[in-house]
Amino acid sequence: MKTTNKMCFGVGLPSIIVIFVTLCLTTLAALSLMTASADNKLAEKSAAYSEAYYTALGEAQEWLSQSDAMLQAGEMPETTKNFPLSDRQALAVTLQIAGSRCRIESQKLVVTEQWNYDQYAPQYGDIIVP
Amino acid sequence: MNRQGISRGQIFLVELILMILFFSVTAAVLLQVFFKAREYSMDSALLSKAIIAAESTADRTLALPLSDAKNSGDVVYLDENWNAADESSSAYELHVQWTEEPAAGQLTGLTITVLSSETGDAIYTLETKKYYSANEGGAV
Repeated sequence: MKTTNKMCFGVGLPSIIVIFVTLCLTTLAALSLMTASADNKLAEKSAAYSEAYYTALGEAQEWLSQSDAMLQAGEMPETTKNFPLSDRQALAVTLQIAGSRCRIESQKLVVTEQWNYDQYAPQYGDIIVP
Repeated sequence: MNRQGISRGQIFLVELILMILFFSVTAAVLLQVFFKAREYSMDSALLSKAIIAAESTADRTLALPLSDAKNSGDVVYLDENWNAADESSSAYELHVQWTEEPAAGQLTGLTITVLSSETGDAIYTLETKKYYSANEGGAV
């Protein structure tokens, strides 16, 4: 009696497994690349913001030196000035005049331009609180 | 019956070989994508840490009184974990440079550069200015 050599796996099963594994790996690769790319963009934005902040800080120091020189020359400098960091943010510096010298009394980040909340149509019945 | 069984086995083997070929090509492409993602991730982590190091050094240097600021221009060596290290074991260098020596009544530029010790490439550079008032000679 002859014995038949029957395969335990059906034809097409390797294709299904490989396609499934490939799809999983492709999804994973795409997600990791997107996350890493977003992190990289965020780090670059953070670097640009930090550079802008310290540039504004330097401009404020320059203004302080000019104000000090004006005061020495007998002129009265303005005591408040904004140094823009971006379209919406600025470094607001206030000077304190003490005798013939001036010093920085306060410096803080201020929002120069508010969001226009009216341009966003309310969705799902939510209320935008400015 | 026997001939039919062998035939199915051959088809199965051919399919298996084709799938291995397909998978190896796909894996080669996907590995490149994973390496690219790792590269992006390492770059952003390096930049973030360089920003923190440069900012903290800038804040510390700008807060110094004039007498200490005169001696603050220096190179700080950092290891792979961004801790202070010797020059020989350093992975990163932090250069603190004044454009001119700080003096009373003078505006001076300050540049802080984070470099890779291995390649010498600048990772991040921060530039600002500092004015020391003539009368007090301290931090303004």
